This record gives sequence, C-alpha cells and structure tokens, in this order.
Amino acid sequence: MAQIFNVTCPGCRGTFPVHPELWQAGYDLLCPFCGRMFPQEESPRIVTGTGEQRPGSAWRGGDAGSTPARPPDPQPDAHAEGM
Amino acid sequence: MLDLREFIARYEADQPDHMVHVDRPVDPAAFEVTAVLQQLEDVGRAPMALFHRPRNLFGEVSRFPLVTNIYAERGRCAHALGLPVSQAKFPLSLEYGRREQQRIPPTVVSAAEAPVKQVVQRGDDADLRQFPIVRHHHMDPAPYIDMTPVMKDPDTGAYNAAYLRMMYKGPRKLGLHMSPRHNWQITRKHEERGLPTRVAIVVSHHPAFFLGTLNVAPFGEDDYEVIGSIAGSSLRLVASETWGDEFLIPADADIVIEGEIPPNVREVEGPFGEFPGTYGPQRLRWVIDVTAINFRHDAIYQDVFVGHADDWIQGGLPKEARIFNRIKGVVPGVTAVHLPVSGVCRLHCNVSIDKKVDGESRQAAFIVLGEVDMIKHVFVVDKDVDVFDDRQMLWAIATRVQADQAIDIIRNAKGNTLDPSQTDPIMTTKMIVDATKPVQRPFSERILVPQEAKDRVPMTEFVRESGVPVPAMGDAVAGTGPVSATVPPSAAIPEA
Repeated sequence: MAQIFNVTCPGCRGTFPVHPELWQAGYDLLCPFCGRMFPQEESPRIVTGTGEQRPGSAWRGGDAGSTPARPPDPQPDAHAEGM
Repeated sequence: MLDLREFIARYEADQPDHMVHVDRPVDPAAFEVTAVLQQLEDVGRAPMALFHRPRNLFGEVSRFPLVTNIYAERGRCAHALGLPVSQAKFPLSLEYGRREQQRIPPTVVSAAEAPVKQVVQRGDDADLRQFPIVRHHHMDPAPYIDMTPVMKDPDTGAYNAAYLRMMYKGPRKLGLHMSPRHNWQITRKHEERGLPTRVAIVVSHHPAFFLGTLNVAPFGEDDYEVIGSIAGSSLRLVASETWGDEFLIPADADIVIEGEIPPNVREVEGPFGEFPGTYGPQRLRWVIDVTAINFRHDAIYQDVFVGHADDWIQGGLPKEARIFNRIKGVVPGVTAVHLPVSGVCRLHCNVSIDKKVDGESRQAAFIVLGEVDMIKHVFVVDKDVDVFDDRQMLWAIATRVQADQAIDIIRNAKGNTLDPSQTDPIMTTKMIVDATKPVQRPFSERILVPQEAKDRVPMTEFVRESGVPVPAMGDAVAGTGPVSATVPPSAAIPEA
C-alpha cells in the first residue's frame, strides 16, 4: 500500500484505513462500520506509517467538523489502479 | 443484437454445471450476495450466479433480478465473445487481441427500437434505492455499483468506458473513484472549464459489452467502436434522456443511469475492498448527481465480485495478447502469456518460450515489465510448461531455478498504489524469474509417460470407480485382451 493511516472510530471503535490526502485536508472521516462522520481529532487512536499519533497534535488542519465548500484538489496518483 | 437474457439462457444450456440460482430473498446491502459467492469460492467453485429475489435498498424484493460472477471463469468470457469454452485459454487471449485492433462503428437507433428506453425515470422517480446494490466486503462503507461509467471527451467527442467503483450516497447521488486514466482525463478537461462532466453508467448489458470496455486502445479512440469490434457486431446506441443526441447510450443495455459530475467537488469515499484482495483507503473523490435512469421492462441488475476471480480475470485477459505480440517481435519463440488468478491477474505474468539462445528469457521479461506497469513479477518457462497451470509453473521454478543465477531484481520501478506490499507511494520492486532450461549445456529431461501407451488404455474405458460393479465379461470393451498381447516391443521394460 502506498500510504495510509489507520483511524479508530470514536463511536463503534472500528479501525479503518484512510489516505493521507484526507489527513492533510483535515476532512471529517466516515466510519465504514457504523456510518458516523467525525472530525479527525475525535478519533481515540490514529496510527501512521511512522508510529502512533494522537489527535490534537500538529497533524490536524482546518476546523473540526467543517467541510470546505470547495475542497482542494487531491494530488492524483501518477499511476494506474484497478484494471 | 446483444441480449443479456439470451446469453444467460444459452450459457446455462451449454454449461449447466457452471451456473447456480438463488431463489430465496437475500439482502445485497447486508453482504448476503457476496456471502453466497464466498461460500461457493471456498469450495472451489466459481459459477455464474443468478439471484431471483434480491432486496433493494428499501428492503423490498427488487423488481430486478441480480446476476454476478459472470467473468469468474474464462470459459464464460469465451462464451460471451462467441468462442467455444474449449478455446478459453490462450486462443481466447489471441482472439481478444485480434478484435481489439479492429473498429466497428456504432449504429444509432430510435428510442422505439431501444430496449433500454422501455422505462425512463427522471427527477424524484430516478431513485437508486430501487436497485439491489451490493455491499461486497466488511469494510465497504456502503453498497457500491461497480460497473462501467461512459464519458465523452469534450474535444474529440470520443466516448470512453471503464470499470469504476461508485459508492451509494443517496437516492440520487453516488461517490466516484477514478485513477488518472481516460475517464479521469475527460473529467479534468471539464473541470478546467468549470463544466460538469456528463456520465452514463452502464450498470447491466451483455457481457461482451463489458469485456469490450477492458480494451487498452489509446486515449482518444472511441470505445463504442472498439467495444463493437470486440463484441463482434456494431454497438447499437440511442439518445440519452438527459442530453439527447449530444450523448449516446447503449440501446441494448439492461440498465443505464445518467448523471453529472459537478466540477471541483470532492467528498470522502471508501474504504473499498479492491482487486489485490485488500482494502483501498478512504479518499477524497468525485460525486455523481443522478439525472435519469433507463432500463428494460425485464432488466437484470449486474455486479462484479471485486477482489475475486470475477474481477481478476477481466483485468488479465485483455492484456495477454498485447504482451505476446510485443514479445514476439523480439523473441519469436514465445508460445504463450498468462496473467494468472494466483497473481490477481495483474501482479504476476507467466511467459513460455521455445528458447533458442540463452538470454531470450530476460529479453521477454523486460518487454513484459515495459508493457504493463502493474506487473511486478515475471516468470519465464520453457514451452513444455503450461503457463495456465500454477502447479506446472511452480514445478518449473522448483526444478529449473538456481536463485543466484535465475532471479533478477529491479528496484525503483513504477508500481501500483493498491499493492499492499509497496513501501513507496509510486515505486515498487520488480522481479524476473528465469525458470527455463539452459541451452548451452545438457539438462535433465522431464519424465514422460508415452502418449501411445495412454492411447492404448484410455481412462474412460479402463478405469472402474470404486463401488461400481465389475461388468460381465461379455460387456468388456472390444479389443481389450491379455496385456502381453498388446504391448509392443518398444514398451518392454528395460533392464535395470
């Protein structure tokens, strides 16, 4: 896998993978298990490729819970996926 | 005319052991379709599965039956393209490659001649919840449509169709994941002009249509022409409900959803169980606002079991002939190319050659790696090894490889972001395994039971299964007599 960070949902405690583009943009995340949308800093546990980090540290960008009306364009992969 | 119902009926008549029916209601959004498929896979089966009473997203039995796992066996892909199942190995690959080089212009028909226009829904009537949309794996956040959106290049007018995943987000809203390939290019062109991108999602059609969408024609080629060639007949098109003649959709499809991708809007999408058999992460992706839905009165909903053979075979089959033809220009003795299911039909490539000089193995492997960036490991074997048989491939690696001489490692090459073993976002490490015999020195021959001996004692006539009564002597097969009378001198046991 190229780059991911694993996030634990504050509601159901399920853990799921997220691409760093969401980290950098500071988006709310969607728990695939319980459907809860939550700001990243509410996650009780975030694990990166370099080790565990807790919410509230310097990684968070943007306002908690807000979704920009026009989000920044994610950096595209320079290679193909899927088929 | 391509008709999904006709395909299913003819295939079932021809290959009844390779099709199953599920008559009881199941809930696709609660993993119950993939649960059935997984259980079949667990016992080594990959039949086409027709669910007659799947539930829709309202929780009711849907008006649409659901067919899936169509592509999980190469025999069905051959059948879909009009080839006998016996041609499902490399002959199918070569035929796909031959057709891919041709073009058959589409034929535009009126709405009255188009089965897909039998039912047209707009506005609030165009509700995605009427469909039995499948949630595939436990970490998928929602049901996904995983078939082929069609887009149109605003500069050339060429249509492009490609398998993409679309997450259910609401009755008239889907999330859309794209990689930077052809549909992504089309969307970018629209976004740069501040325009929405028109999209027609072909959710269900004859499988020849979907196999045709897997072509690797250059960007700018019209996919409707290529699909027609691969399917073997001109693709019939009809005006869309939303944009009329400015955007044509397949007239013989079962279901087509029309919509628009608003420019510069992204929302969270995923995670999603992807082709390697692992999850791709949650990302920021495009959305589709649904504008209309077209379907036949008797439409069947279609789905691909992504991350399994149904998905894998489609990813590999269309590439095999292209690689073969490129190798043949440099290594004329190449005999077959296969992207095996065991390598998710993308990461591994098996090549067999009739090697005339040492060095041809590497030459062939370099071409493979240069041709398809997804391929990570190349295994080159002699022509006596069936590249479609994993056991034979592993036998060749076991008996013809000395690792210090036969394996080459290439670092920092372009890879695939979904390969979970990659440590770099883009780059990967490639490997070439030369499992061919050396040409310049004697090498132990492969053991062999003489074919003429097998011809003398055909298994179907000579083998009696346990529990089957011994036939009366009068029932014995004509021509069988005392062994000593039928063994030719050449078959005599040699002295030790």
